[in-house]
Amino acid sequence: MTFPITKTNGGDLVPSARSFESGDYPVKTYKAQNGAEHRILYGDKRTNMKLSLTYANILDADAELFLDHYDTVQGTFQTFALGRVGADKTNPTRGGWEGNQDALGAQTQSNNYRYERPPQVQQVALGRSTVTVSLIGVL
Amino acid sequence: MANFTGATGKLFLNNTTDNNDPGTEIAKVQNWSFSTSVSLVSTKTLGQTDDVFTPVGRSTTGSCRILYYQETLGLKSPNDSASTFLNKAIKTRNSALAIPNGASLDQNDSDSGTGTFRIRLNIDDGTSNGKFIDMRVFITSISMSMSVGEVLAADIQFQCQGAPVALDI
Repeated sequence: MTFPITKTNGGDLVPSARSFESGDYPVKTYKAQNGAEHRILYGDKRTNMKLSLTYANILDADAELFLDHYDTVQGTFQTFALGRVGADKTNPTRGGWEGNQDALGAQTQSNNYRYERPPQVQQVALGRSTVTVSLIGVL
Repeated sequence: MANFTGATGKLFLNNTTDNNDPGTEIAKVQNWSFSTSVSLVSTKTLGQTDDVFTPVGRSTTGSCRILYYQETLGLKSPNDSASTFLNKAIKTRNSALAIPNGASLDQNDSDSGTGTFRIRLNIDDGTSNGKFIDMRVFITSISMSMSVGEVLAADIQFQCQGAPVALDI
């Protein structure tokens, strides 16, 4: 089961808010006694990028997709790709972003996303919920 | 073409649960008004430029002004006057014991299940029922002030419990 990117009644499931933290390369920093900093690069791939998505006031049926997906990937255990839709292969999780699609991705650095924490569902009205999903890119 | 003025307005009050009974017409109503508002939540997503909403709730409130009068001076006001509304919202304490001592919040003694009572805001258009909106309400505010040169009246505000009971307007 892919990460939810399509509404139950059709159409793209686009977040209403998104934040992205680009992670870092595996660097170990040491401080010498004279105060000089020494850095050792342990890898050539950036990792630990964090993607937080908020889907405000979506249908409960769509909110349920995230809960089902979280269960399918065994919570924070398995990794997954965010998927693309349509002929132009757009990624609905990056809706509204006009920069390079890869900039917000994890796969260009050979990472895949997994859940950093369980999806949070807040019921806001009859049949409507707000879902917040926190993902982290891992090698 | 017909327009309606205050001369065609009426207010009915019904303490029963019988939805077919319009109730008692309240005498000496100076005005009534109601307001319905719909609450929306935004379903706008990233990439959309203009607001998109979906309705998630509705609220109906209203107010009226009813003169306080006595049909015969010195006798308690009849049940079609402001006195009826006053007695729904203002109650004497349950006993004469020391404070704190509460009183019932029930505004409909004959229907304690809901605590609400039913009113009909009516426009007399010459037909048997006229045009109307029926709702079960709670009084949320009632105020009276006595002053020189003014007729004593009650300003009442109410809030609809649930959706209106009947509507033909």
